[in-house]
Amino acid sequence: MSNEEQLVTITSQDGVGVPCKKEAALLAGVVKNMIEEEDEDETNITEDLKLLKVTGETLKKVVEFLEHHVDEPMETLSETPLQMTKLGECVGPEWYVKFADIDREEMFLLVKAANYMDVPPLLDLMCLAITMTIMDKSPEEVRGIFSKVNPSLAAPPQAAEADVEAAA
Amino acid sequence: MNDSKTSSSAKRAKLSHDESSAENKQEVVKHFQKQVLCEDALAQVLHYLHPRDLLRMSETSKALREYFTTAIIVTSAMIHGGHGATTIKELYKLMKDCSIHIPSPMRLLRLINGKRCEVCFHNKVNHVRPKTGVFACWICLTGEESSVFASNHTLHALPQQQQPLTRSHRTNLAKYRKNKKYEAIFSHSRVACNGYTKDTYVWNRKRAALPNTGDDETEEWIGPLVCYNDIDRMANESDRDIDTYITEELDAPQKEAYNEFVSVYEETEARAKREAQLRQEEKKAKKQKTIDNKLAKIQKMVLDLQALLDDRWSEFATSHKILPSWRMNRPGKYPIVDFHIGFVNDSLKPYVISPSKLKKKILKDIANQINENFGYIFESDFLSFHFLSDDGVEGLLKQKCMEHISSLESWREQRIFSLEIFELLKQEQYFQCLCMIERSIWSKLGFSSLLYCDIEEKLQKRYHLDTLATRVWDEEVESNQIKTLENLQTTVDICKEKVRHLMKVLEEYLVWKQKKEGDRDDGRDINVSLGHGTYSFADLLNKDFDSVYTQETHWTGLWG
Repeated sequence: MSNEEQLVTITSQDGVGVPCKKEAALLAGVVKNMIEEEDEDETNITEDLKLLKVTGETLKKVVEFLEHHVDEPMETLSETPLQMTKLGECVGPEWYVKFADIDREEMFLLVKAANYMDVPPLLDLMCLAITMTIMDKSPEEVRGIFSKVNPSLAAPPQAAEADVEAAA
Repeated sequence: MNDSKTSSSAKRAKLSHDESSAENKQEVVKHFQKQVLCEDALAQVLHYLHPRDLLRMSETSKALREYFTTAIIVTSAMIHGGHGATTIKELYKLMKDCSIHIPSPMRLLRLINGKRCEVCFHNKVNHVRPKTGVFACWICLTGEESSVFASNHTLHALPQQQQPLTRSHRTNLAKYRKNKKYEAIFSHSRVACNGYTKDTYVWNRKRAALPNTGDDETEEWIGPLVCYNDIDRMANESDRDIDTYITEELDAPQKEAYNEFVSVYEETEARAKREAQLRQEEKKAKKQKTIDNKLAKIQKMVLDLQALLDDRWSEFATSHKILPSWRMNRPGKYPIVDFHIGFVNDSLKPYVISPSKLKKKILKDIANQINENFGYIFESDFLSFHFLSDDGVEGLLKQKCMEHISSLESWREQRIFSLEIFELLKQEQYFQCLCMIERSIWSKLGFSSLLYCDIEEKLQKRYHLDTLATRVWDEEVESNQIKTLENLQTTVDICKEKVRHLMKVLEEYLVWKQKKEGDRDDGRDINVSLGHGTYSFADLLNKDFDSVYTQETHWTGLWG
């Protein structure tokens, strides 16, 4: 069986198993390492690909991304300095823009997952998406975005006002 | 002894404080990485952001601030351009010389986003001052107020208790000239100073940024390392050289500490230049697009207007030209098209600047006004000059007018049609209207020939007289505007008398010239000097023939 047809099942920390094409799964550095190790041991690779830091819901999204990326790779259309304020103008094709149109909390979870699973294109996409949500926002709005993920960030830093005065 | 004990215990306390604060920072960072964004992701997000967004991010949480490095801020400022890039450029010069206190990343962020003076918090500043690296206004920097206040009364003065940031050493004094060490100090790379005439300005005294912010555990020193008093101390030091003094006495950072800033700047410089060039090209293209769009809208406006005008003057009334390129630089402020007809231009000017403001009703009103005004010209049959008789001066004027200005097209290049002209036409004051058309019309009509028609025979060369008569006529018309027919007759009489007098002087001059040159007469012509040398004409009237002769030679040399 070729890589394209072969399926592997990746299991999340909460025990949800998500099937994924092997070719797509190899895009994730962590999974690739696991598969390579198992290949060396000549064990059954469809078993026991468990990720300890990714939840089932997030894992499904990552797999969705990986499988689409195999068929239609993502293109980054804009480098720094970003001239655009919409994600659609920075990445292509359109599927990726729709994919990134998710809750902010989910966005941060995907960043973590992409970083843990070593999926650079997903990390790039999510970082761009987060950048777009932060751009041209006031400190209070940015704090609001981060505090949803981490409530301890809801309080402003000391003397933030002093900085604002100096810069304004 | 006690002092040294206190000082060492203070240093120990500071050291342990620094260590504990560093540990705290580490904790905060770890917590942020665990809860919000991992380091790689955050670095990537920060890498995309504009300096303005970086500042806003820094105001969100302490944990985030810990991620702001000199590299991120310098790169962002350089790539995004603007005043922030200028600030970094100025700081680079000083950082390369290792002559200022190293700014922390947060201070860098404040500097590249700054808008107001960091000393008085009021006066507007664009970027850091060269040679000092502080974000200060001219008044706070120098204490000089008079010249600056003369041009801008909204500026804040330097508070009475506050000293300016810089102070000058009067380096032309003997003290500085005798001790050669001063010269070495002022030219040393780590001494930031600015020489201006006999003064050399240096940093007045050690100064901290934003005192009592409560955020930074330690004070951050800003500005140059070497202050006013250090200069004399260094000059009087016999044991240590300048470098050693700066390192030991001024507690200056090691030169390696400047490397991060310098290397990031140098690595990013080429990319920043490319980005700046791209931005400039984009800006240029955008401006050109704006101009092209505006011209297209104006063209449409003209066509719409022409459709509403009478055929007899529709083209004439809307004739226009596109203005030179310097006007194009600010198409939103200045009109880029100029209509030849004065009142049409006045009516359309606001809409040439902003074509989208022109509504159909306004265009219709403007068209009605143009039709009404030009209607008067044809209704009154003004262009046949029926209001002038066929005799004497009037007759001559009529003849000249018929020859030169009997159709609208002959007036095309003149901005003559003000609303006042049409008011005069309405009131049937035709001659005043003719006089108002344009003062230069009298020259155009060639009226000067009238002034010497009865004395022409007496002079050998006719064009001497023509030159004189034109000058006399122009001056007279300039000083005494012709508004009535009587006025015209009087002006003609006055000018004739002046020409008659001047002709005698001219004859005397020609005789004098003949005597002076004798056989050497090379045929140089007085016409040259009269035509071009303003002073020679006045000198001729004063009978200062030598002067005329000299100038004539000069002009002949130039034009011959």
